[in-house]
Amino acid sequence: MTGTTVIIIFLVLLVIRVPLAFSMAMAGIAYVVVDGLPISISAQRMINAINSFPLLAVPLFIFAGHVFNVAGVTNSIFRLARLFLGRQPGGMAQVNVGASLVFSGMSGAALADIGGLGNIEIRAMTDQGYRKSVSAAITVASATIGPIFPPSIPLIIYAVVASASSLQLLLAGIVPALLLTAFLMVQLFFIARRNPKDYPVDPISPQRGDRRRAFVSALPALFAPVLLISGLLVGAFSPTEIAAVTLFYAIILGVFVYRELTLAKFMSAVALTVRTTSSILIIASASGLFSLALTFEGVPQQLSSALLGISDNRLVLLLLVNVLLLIVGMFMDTIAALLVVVPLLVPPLVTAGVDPIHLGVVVVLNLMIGLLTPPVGMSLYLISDIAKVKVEEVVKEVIPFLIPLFLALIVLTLVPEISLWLPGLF
Amino acid sequence: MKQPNVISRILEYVSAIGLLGIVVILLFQLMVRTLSFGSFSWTDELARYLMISMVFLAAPAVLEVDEHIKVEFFVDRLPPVVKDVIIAVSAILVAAFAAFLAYSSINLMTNLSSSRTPALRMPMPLFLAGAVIGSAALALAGCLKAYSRICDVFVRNPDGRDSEGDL
Repeated sequence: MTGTTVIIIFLVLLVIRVPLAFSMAMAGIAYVVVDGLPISISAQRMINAINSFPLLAVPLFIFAGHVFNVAGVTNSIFRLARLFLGRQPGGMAQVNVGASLVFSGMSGAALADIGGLGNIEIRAMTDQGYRKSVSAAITVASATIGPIFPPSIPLIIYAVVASASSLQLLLAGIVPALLLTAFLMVQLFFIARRNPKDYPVDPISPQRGDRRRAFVSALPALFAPVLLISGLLVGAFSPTEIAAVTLFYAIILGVFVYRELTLAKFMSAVALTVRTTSSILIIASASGLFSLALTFEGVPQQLSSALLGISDNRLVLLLLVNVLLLIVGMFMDTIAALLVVVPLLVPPLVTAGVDPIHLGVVVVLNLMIGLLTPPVGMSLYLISDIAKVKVEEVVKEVIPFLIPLFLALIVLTLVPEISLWLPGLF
Repeated sequence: MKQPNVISRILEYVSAIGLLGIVVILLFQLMVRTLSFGSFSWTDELARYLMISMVFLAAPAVLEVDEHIKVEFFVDRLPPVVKDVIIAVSAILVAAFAAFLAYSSINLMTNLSSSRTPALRMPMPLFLAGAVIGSAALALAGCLKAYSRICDVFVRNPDGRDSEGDL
């Protein structure tokens, strides 16, 4: 069986709504059966694909994100962002972006950010006269920061798939996430200056001591990203161990500091984590079997030659990859796209001189933009459910906010030093 | 929220215990290493074992509540009857896949019956047990889902909803 046939089987299964993990595994099994490979190789490849210590960070960061969501942390973060940014042009919209940046240091997935902060942000914005669809659009746009800033589940999965250092990838995401935040805030500043009625300033002026009190109240929550980043920078712990410490800290915060983490909430976080982890890592597991078929048939090498045949200039290749990933991101979930596309893209791009760490940041940002584009924009569906507003309305309002995201993508693609500077120091 | 069947639910509880086990093991490893500057090799292996088991044991419940990641864009645009048929076919394929995976894992288990894991010296069949049980339960869950989807092809509720309440 040829590699092309394997890919066609996979695509047909995917189109007829077979879950992605099973589509990949079935295409792999078809190859194993037709080519007469030992039956046991299917299970062996699927189990070995997730027999990885770095991958343990995935369930732990998912768990930590869920615990932070139910631990009462979000209110204090939002209040702090409001007191510091609310009086700027674009008031609550700026608060939305600022709060997302802080929360992104605790949770590693865009959907967790939307789930955690979405409700409170949209309520506060609409109370002040923002249209619901605009509030929803800003919330999903700012949630793209989360998976770039550490901890980032997509970056960890990329590291495992591309055999790159997860520590360096997490560090590489810090400056790009700050850049993305700055781009979004600058855009909101100018939009708000032009339409002060639609983007009002927070009417509540902070009183003397308010900011200090809010800061003190949010300090334990703010310490979570500090703990995480300093742990990564010092290099004393692996990302998996940092994930365990972050989770432990989230539990302590929820039980002893904010006192909102009950046993029932904790158990619901456990149940959510088990299901989310299984649905993500079963794809990683199936990709082990799928990649066996592709590797045996030399598909990565063929794609390498085809891409390098177009150009061997790394910038041209990176721009091509951007276009490809934006299209893939419109139809595929982030994790799925990472597991299907990254193993095929990394070899030719690395051969052309692209740094795999830089590539990781570019790939993840591309796929985050995919979360905001229909038809398979998961963020759009989640926010439409939370805000009770039609997906089409969110899509219309999100278009202006794609400009800073695309701008950040172009800058990050053309200037690898932005991503590589921080990991280069350690 | 849809609820999985009793077997899938039990396996999901076992997965939850596995998750908590991973957390405890990694924190223990970290504590021991920080305090005594030593480390164990078995903690890494046990945590990986628990993660593999957790992924496979929770998969049937995830299938039953329809939370596995899939592309619905194309099928959602088809007429309801065609959509039902395609969904039933995809459910049958999933059940067949899961049965094959269970068979393949039992095969692997038999091949490695005399081997042991490097650090814990755990018998390999035990290391693979989570994957075997999980894929067998996945096959069962797949069959139940396929059956309910086949029923949907023939019986559709008057309000246009299928047996799982989806439109």
